Amino acid sequence: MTVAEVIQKARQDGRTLLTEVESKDLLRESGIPVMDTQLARTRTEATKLAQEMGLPVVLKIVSPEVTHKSDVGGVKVGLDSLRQVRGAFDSIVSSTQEAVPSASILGVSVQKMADPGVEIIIGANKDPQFGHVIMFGLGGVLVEMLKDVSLRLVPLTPRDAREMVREIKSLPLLQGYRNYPACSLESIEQALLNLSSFLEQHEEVRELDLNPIFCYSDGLVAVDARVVLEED
Amino acid sequence: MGYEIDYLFHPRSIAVAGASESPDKTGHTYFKNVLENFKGKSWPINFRADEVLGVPTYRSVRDLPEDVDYVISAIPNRDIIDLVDACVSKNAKVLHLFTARFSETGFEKETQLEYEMLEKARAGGLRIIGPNCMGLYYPREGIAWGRDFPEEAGNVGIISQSGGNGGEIISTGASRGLRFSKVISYGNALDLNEADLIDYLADDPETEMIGGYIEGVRDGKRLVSVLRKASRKKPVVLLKGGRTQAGTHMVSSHTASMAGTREVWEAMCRQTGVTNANSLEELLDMLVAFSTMPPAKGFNLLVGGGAGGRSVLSADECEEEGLHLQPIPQEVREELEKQDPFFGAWVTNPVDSSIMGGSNLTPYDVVQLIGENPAYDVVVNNIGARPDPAGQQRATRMVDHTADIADKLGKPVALVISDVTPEDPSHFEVTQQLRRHCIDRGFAIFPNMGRASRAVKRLVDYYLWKEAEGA
Repeated sequence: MTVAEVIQKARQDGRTLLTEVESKDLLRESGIPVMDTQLARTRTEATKLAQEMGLPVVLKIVSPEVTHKSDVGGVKVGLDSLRQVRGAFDSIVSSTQEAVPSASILGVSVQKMADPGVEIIIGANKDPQFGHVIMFGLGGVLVEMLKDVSLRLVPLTPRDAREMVREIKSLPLLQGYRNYPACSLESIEQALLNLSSFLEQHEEVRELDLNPIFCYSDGLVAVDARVVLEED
Repeated sequence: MGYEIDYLFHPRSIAVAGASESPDKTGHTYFKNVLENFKGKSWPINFRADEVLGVPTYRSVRDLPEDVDYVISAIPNRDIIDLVDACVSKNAKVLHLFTARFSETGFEKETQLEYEMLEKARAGGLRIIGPNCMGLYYPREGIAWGRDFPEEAGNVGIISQSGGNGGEIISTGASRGLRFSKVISYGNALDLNEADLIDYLADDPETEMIGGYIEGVRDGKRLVSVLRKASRKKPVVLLKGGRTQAGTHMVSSHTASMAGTREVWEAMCRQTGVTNANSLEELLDMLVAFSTMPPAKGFNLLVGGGAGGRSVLSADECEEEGLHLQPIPQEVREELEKQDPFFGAWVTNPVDSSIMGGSNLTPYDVVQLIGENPAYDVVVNNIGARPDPAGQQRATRMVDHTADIADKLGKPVALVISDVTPEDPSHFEVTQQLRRHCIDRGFAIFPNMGRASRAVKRLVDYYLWKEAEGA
């Protein structure tokens, strides 16, 4: 779907929270690499997508009511046979139904399992005084606990992006600390600048999380995305 | 914009509405200040008294014999709409409203009144400063809202949303040697807001640095662009009140939960080259630093003048603030060893002055010799002054030596003098004399090494930011 289509669909449904698949469709326009992710409404569709994409794959619940997917048993990673994919589909749907009985389940997202990288988060929200603010930090569950993040207002200059990446205390983790591979800091800076330009053109985006993004020595890829739109 | 704000500072005439004969009333103080110091025409407006301070009053601004540029209002809010109409009829350019009890009450009726007043003023080409503010301190024209403000003008421009904090910046700043170009207490920022005023001060040739106390931001995007422009020209130091307020809408994302008011403000300051102060004390420390020290472009520091324990603590505090205590370069050490082999081999940075007894060197020679080396960007000298007359005389000599060194080095030199309140009141006077002497010799004084280090670090941060911006 194009950005306009994604937004139109959400407006029609009366939603401001976009699903992972919709969020990624939206972000493709920004130039930030995102993991190709498709919606499977049935077990058979999931298997077919897994086959097309190539194993191993990751399956995640797609439901507007579920914010933290792994908390409800809605994420299965490293599925490297079609039998496992079928089993994961059933297990994700049933455990989500059990944990959030009121959740409307649109299906399950299927994406190729990304090579492991250093996890970072890039996000944005809107400050009532200054407009869009971009955040950068280490990703995964640590972001909430450590609050080791940097912030800048949109629009970002290349200097802002450079400073943001180097300001966090965990910078050594991105530069090849012990057994961590060194990440391409330039790719992170480019992603921050891309997001800044994207947000300048999309005032309708209220909140956005790319969490996690996997960073590599030669690039990065967003493996999960979550976008909240402004009220219509 | 600049055109109207110029009337704010260069009115040809001032009328004070609510000028009172009672010395307890602010309307009295305003008129007294205008009458005694302002060089243009001034008129008291009072619909009861026939004269104020011996000057015949007018019942209304409408009754003035000619047009008026600038009107100060110290009347109750119920008469404000009539005053605005009267100002417009006399072609007034600026209305300063000490008058309060508008939107700041949070009440609907008062907020509506404020809005109505703005509409009328806009339609009549009248600019408003305030409401709910103290107005102007502009020593060059003899305009001041406080009786104790220095008559002498300087180069520090201030905007303050709070009149109380503005007054404290002026009074406390004056005691630390600051003099002001223009100070604007702007209250509710109904018409002229923080961005307008900073924009004006950025272009103002009388203002070489800008300080500000800001609570609410009227137009964030415009403020950012104004600050970017201002910081490229001169240092800007801002203190934000209300940093801990929660966001205005419920948030659920990681980013939103971590981008609170304080964090976003700090990010904004970094992007615009603004020095962010966390207290009035820090705001003044930075203005003192910017007004007394030349630009420095590096963090390599030489600390002198402390004995034993003070040197050790000084070293800790400098490093903790992000300054670098540069070790003494080999060529300097060789030179010191030539003059005194034992001491020359022993001395370190910070220079412990207590070890020099019986050597061929004095602490001043050593600080000068080391400080001259290009490895050092900044010098901070401890003046260990005992609060008794003999101790202070010694301290005065130290200050004079340090001033001579500072002149020769051409590098930023700050002094640390402890803020000890002596038990004996006569000693207090001596301490004040020493401080005054330091200020007269052009030094930045800080009460401890922690505050000196923090100020120096941020001074260098600013000049590096400016250099990287190509400004």
